[in-house]
Amino acid sequence: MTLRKKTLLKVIILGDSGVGKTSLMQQFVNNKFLHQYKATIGADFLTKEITVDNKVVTLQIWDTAGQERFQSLGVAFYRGADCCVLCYDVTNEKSLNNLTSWKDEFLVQSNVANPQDFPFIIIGNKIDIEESRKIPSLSKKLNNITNQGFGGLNYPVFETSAKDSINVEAAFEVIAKMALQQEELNEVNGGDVSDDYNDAINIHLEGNGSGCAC
Amino acid sequence: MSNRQKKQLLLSEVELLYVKSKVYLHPTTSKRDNIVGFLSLSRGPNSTNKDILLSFTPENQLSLEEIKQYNAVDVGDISLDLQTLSLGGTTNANSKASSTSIDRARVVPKPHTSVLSGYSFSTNLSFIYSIQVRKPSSGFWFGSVVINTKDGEKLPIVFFHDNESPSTLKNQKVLNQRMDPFGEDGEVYWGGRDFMGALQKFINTERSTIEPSVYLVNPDSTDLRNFAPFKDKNAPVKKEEPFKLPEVNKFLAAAKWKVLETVATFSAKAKNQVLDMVDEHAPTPIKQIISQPEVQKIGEDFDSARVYLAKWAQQVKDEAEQSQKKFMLDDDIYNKINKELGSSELLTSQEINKTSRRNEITKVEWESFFDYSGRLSLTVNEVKSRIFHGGVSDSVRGEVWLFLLEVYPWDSSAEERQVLVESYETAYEELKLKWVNDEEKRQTDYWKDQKHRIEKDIQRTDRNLPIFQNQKKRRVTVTSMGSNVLPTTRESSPETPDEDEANDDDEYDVSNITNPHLYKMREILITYNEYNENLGYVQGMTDLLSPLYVKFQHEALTFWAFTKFMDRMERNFVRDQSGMKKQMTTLNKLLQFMLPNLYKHLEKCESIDLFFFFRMLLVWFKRELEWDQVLRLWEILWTDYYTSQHHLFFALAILSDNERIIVQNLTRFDEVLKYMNDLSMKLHLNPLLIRSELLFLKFKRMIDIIDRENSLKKVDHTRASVTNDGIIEIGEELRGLLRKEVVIQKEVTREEGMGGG
Repeated sequence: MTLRKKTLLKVIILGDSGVGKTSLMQQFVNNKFLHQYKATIGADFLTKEITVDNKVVTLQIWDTAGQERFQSLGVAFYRGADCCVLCYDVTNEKSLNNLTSWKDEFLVQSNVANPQDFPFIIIGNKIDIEESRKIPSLSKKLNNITNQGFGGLNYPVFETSAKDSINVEAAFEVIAKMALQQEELNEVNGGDVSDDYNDAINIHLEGNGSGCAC
Repeated sequence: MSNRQKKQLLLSEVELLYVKSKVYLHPTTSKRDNIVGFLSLSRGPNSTNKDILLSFTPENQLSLEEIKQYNAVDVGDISLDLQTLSLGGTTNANSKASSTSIDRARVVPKPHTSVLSGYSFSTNLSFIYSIQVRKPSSGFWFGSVVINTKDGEKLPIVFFHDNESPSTLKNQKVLNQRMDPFGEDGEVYWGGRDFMGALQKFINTERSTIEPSVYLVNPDSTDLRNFAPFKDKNAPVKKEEPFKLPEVNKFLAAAKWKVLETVATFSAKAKNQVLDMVDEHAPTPIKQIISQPEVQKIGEDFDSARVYLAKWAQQVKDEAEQSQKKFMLDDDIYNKINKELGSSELLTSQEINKTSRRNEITKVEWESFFDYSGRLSLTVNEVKSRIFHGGVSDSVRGEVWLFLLEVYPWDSSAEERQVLVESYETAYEELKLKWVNDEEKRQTDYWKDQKHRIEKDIQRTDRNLPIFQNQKKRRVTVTSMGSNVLPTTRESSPETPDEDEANDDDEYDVSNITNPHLYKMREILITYNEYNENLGYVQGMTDLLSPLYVKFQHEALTFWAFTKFMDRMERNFVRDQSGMKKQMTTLNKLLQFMLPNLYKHLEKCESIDLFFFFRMLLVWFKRELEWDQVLRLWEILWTDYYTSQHHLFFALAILSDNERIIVQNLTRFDEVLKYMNDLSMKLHLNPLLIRSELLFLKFKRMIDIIDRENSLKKVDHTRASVTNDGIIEIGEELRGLLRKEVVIQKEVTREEGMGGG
């Protein structure tokens, strides 16, 4: 290909219901925060153009429903992801404990080529809420989850407030960098596997509709 | 450079009076064979208006110099005279017609007078009998004129490629700038109109009252009697086409084609070109849409211009339909949709007439359905048919819904219903007390999790409605149908928040619900979570509950109505999502069957999983429609009038309505998903209801035809003892769509210790 395509980086946001996935995305893309987002049903995405390492890239950020059972239909948009953001709520211990399942679920469903070093990042949201409501001894618990050696969630962690716009920009900058690396890695490996934006040759089998992929 | 000088024309010369460039003959259906040329009016030496030549001259028969001349005349003096646009303006023949001065720049060799040679033709006006003017319309992208000569010959049809003709474009632009893209008669401007306007300066034309698109050229009295009888007899003139303004649709549609047709093939890098083109060609209203910051943002945000354009096209369509709404009868919308669906051969006019939308059922009408004892005096089917086609007015909605959801039996009397309500209240109270009094249960992780889920979602459901907004003043009196029977639930529930503690922090503590209505919804859902213990609460249920609550405002009745609604919706929420998958598979089959071209396109877009329908199906379009429209749609779906799966036909109608935009503009999974998601709050219920009903009827007819064909073939086969070749199998998924029985799928038993996720 002689004509260089604009880089599109696909980012998936996962995490328990109500941790603030939609708010994080809205704050980053539109610089706004509403008190009353509706619970996300299905999936949707927003895009934003940013510059990473002097390169203009388009982040395509996918927001998903938080209730676990709704993930089983998510295969379609996990494909081709360049980075996955695992979110929890700093006032909700369960959402922190669930991070590992979210990661596992993602790897199973996305079928990425390099599960060992696929880029994940962790975001603890709602740090604007008063200290007394936060998870007791949060940093210790977080440490336990991230430093379990092999299999632990040894990924960059950001604490953010989508409401007060704290650290959101910084987190997404890192996300973009990681995603870009992943994307380039895919390209080097001829990464058709996880890049559905290539002009792949479509082979259509006559009379054999591939049916519903859900 | 003034070429104006008095000089006689040679016999072989004519003076061009009027030229329209970029008109085409379409000798075959292939675009490659199109012949481009000029349509002109010209005058030879010593000639009257009747001798004026009407000619089509292909560009390839002209020298470069001549082409220049023709083009110059085309765009030369289009200082736009609005009066020349008004059809029938034969009286104000402008000076050129009688001018004795000859502009040498307008003088060209006389067009071949032979009627037809090498695709050119030329005839004098006196030899023309009639001209049929066919405006651009959805059937034909280009407007055209058909010229009939006096000896009954039909000249080749001349098509106006408005998007290429500099003068047409320029005129359009001027009109748009004046914010007046229509002539005085409200008709849209296009090249053929321009031409007719010019023609009418030189010769008298009469519009046929029998076929309004036909103009008789210089008709004599016999012609007028035959083709314009009303006028001739001085009879009262029948008003033609009372709805003039909807022509805006064609105008907008024409503009849309111009850009979209060209742009559909553009790649992402062409975004700027696209914007330029829009700038150049789009009529003012569209420019206004485009200049909206959010629309521009979409363009900037997204790498590909396609989604942007698709959205634009959708807005154009929307504007058009909005204007239609005001000026067209439902039947007209219906006819349009029916035409588009191509179902006229499949459906009888009787069936078609049945489908038009009717007025909603008023309180008076509803009450007239019942006898003195409050028992229904119509058949259930009659009532349902009425609801299906009209819906019910808000004043009587609560009561109708209780019947539709079968909280009230259809054959009950008023007295029986009163007794029933009391027993519903008692039963609900008992259910609720079970969890209220079960301290142990309320300590389990599952219960706490579920309660948290419910509270979190309640807090973010329909908060834009006044009823669910937090009041600054506490202690709002709750007035509801049942407030005296079930005084206040606050005392009965141990979770009752202490109202004095309520502070601005409540947004962080989801369990602190201060709005009394939200609080009742919470009680209902916690009770439901216990009542249907296998399923429990699942995200999305608050969306299903809130319309019921708002209508009834009675905790016990809302609860029971909700359980009835959930009977049919349970399959949407089961843990393994099999119910949703099944519906999406069915929709996939239905799409293949009904809209095969769109299906093929979606296949190319890797979108046949129809994931974009997930939200729509899960909560029955609650997130896609405005509040009032949700209420209307649901009561229609609850009738199961044709099928219990009408929501799938409604989904199909949305796709069908957007088919062209999708096919022309969207090529990728993410583009399709974005486009469909963003239809939210932009859908118009009534046209979609009509479309979905037609789609159903068409579907049913197709199945009938196939069944009939199959049975004929089977007879043949048994005789010839051959295999079932040629038998078209209709799968169970599709056949199931014809049933009215509600599809029930219950959640499997919840294992001990299993979470509610």
